[in-house]
Amino acid sequence: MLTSKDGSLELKMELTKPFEAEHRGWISYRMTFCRAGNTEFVFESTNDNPLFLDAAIEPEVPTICSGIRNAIQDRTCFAYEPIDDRDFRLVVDAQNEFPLVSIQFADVSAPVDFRWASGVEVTRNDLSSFVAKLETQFFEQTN
Amino acid sequence: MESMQRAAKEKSFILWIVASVALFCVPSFASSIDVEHGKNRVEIFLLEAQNGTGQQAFDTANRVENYDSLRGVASESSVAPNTGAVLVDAGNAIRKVRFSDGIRHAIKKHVSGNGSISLKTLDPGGNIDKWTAHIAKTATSGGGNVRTVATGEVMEIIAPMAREGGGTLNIGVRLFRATGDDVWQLTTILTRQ
Repeated sequence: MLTSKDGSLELKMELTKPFEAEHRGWISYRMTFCRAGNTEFVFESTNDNPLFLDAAIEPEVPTICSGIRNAIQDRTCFAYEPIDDRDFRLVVDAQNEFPLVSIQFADVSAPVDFRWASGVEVTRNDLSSFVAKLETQFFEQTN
Repeated sequence: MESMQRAAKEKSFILWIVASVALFCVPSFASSIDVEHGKNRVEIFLLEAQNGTGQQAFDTANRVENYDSLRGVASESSVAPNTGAVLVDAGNAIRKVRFSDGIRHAIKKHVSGNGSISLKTLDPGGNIDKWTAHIAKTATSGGGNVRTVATGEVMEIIAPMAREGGGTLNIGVRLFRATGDDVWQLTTILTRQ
């Protein structure tokens, strides 16, 4: 869970390794965004638009995690779009004391006043913790 | 019932796309690099695609001795020029390509589904024969930059495809070749380019 600096917004990212052999090498994901404790928006697979991240050839979750970690450490920016096929764009701008995390979606309309689209301030500690948990989740699912 | 019908449709579509790509490989089991044969195969494939003779392609594929219907090995080649996104030419040298195990969701997402980045949506009026031909030709004969990854090489190839409604769409493929393997795997299709 990633929480905004002011505590009002939360992002939960869940990874699920599909059982079907036809999805071998990929990991499914879902993002749930909450505002003031209530679900504001869920970005998840649909029948026509399954969401997957590469988990074998160029594992994307570790790439995202190391990118964010480096950005935090070096006070730089990190941007990422999934390989298949740019379903979202994540930008972490960690140049300032409180990193700004923005997430935009290519095909789905987020709610009006969806604050993650323009960027949400988080603490470095919380972002680091989010990355560590995401990485753990990935390795638990794939090993 | 509806989900069973949908599954059956998906299965038949996957069989068709596998068979279509497999048509490339009919002579490839016997020979190594042969650009002229490759060119002929591409032309025959495209002709069949234009004529809508998908069943013929499927039957041909089924007759191929040792054909692996699950993997659908297709074509062989020398490595295409390393020039980034290029226009595919049927006369180019071609490479061996097979579907990766995890390709199925990409076919639904980028070709047969009703989503916004499916060719069904992006190219109304187009058909599976046309899209399959473009994907197969791009994968087997297009050129792209090769990147080294931990377990092999990755190449993304983008090629413009004429849109039925006018203009072009940049449609591509992502290929992976494991270290020591001479066959590339088609891991996903790229339609948002």
